[in-house]
Amino acid sequence: MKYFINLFVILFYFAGLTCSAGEEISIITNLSVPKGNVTRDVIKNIYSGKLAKWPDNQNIVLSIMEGTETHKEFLYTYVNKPEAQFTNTWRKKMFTGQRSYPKNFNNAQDLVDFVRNTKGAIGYVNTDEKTNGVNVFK
Amino acid sequence: MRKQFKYIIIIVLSFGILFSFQTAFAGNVDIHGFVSQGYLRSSDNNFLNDSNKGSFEFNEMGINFGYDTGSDVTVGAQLFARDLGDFGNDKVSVAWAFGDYKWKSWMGFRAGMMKFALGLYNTTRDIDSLRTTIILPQSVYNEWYRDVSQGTKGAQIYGHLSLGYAGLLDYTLQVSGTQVPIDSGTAKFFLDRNSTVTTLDAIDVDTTYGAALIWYTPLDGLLLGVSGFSTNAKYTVNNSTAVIDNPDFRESILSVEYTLNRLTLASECMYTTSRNNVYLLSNPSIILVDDERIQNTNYYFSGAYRFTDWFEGGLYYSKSEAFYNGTGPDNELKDICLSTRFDISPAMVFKLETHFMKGLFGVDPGTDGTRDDKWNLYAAKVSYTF
Repeated sequence: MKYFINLFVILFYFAGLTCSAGEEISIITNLSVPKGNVTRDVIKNIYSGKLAKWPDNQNIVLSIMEGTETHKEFLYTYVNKPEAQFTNTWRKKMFTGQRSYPKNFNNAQDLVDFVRNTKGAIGYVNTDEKTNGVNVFK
Repeated sequence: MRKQFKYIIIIVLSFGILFSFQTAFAGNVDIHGFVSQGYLRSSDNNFLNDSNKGSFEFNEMGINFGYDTGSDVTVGAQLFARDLGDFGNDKVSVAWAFGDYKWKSWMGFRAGMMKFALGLYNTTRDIDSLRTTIILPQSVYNEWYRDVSQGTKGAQIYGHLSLGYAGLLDYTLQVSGTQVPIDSGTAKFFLDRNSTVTTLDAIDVDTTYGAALIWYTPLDGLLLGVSGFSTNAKYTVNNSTAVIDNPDFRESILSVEYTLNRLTLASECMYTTSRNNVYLLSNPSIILVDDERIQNTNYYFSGAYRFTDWFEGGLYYSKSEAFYNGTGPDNELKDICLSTRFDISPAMVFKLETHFMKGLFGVDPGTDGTRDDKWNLYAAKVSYTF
């Protein structure tokens, strides 16, 4: 029993340690989303799957860039979850029919285009990317 | 050979459906799926399948279609097949199929065939890649009863309430009907546990009423849950000469989960109560057991830690006890599980785990009387998700 307690104490210590890739991230939304609705807590709750609608009842449409450093940095900075946990959270929702899996993009400009053209959409990109026609939060 | 042929037919059919859907609803249909194949071996006793000799009769597969209408309405369905010893035998069934209307953030409606919201993991137990361990704690997620929660037909009202500084609250209210075939795991378990029952001829379960609440507390990563259901169950036995009646069958689960970055801790406690009446079908006034109160409390504690992007370790302690009154090794099972998970790629997972067992609750009664109440179970499983 003592062995298990010691093990948990060590894991707790390491659990608090994560590393950042160091990228600067901008959050972007479709222009239909009122700017005042986008706070750090709201972003976290959206990407944790806890929020499905904006306060004005628009459906929230998520976009991501899985497998990229930008994705890892975004999860570290805003969601506080490792990539595997994030993937599992959304697979759970998808395989129980509760939500669709976030729309995944390999290219940042494709993601920006999607957010620009989709009502209620939210995404994230590196701050160096061109972000015309969308709301930008840094 | 016959089983392999069945496998091929299922896969071919699934891909056929997949391509027809994509053609019909180009762009709006999301299609995903999973396949897993496991192996069980035990040092003594048969548990879940012929584990004492080692058995590959331990697999699951599912394919999932979601159609977004572009409004507040979505429809989806999931086909599922599994094999676990005597259960499932790769028979394809509808895991869930429902329409969902998200009216407001705080209220939505679903109707059709749904997974029953119960505990932290009941709705996702079919998908191996979503958890650290291969076998969920049997104290709360008993494999024999899994077919009962496989797909219940009915309706749900659900929603999400913001409590301001107090966090967030998810609720689900559900009403459903469940059919329990007499070749199901529930039926087999009932027969194994009741030595006076020679045949099980029918299981009738009344409408089930359930509720589930999950509170995402202001402490980041901590959630608390309470869920449960109430129904009446009746078993017609011994060539339809007697009835075992369990009225007011109630099950409730208290859940807690705490996630701190790479560490996840969870615990659940399940409390079940009912009453037990046994009478002759030909003359219900002849009562063999009169209103006996039955209850049990099962629980587990678990922890999982993701060491790297590709490696996770987990352990749990789970204690199960028999629903009908009784003590001794036959009526309880204590399980310490050590588990490892290797994410070979984002789509493929390989797991290995060991269970140190004490007790015989849930162990196949067998015929040779050589059961050992201190035994180990070893499991391996590979899963692919797309």
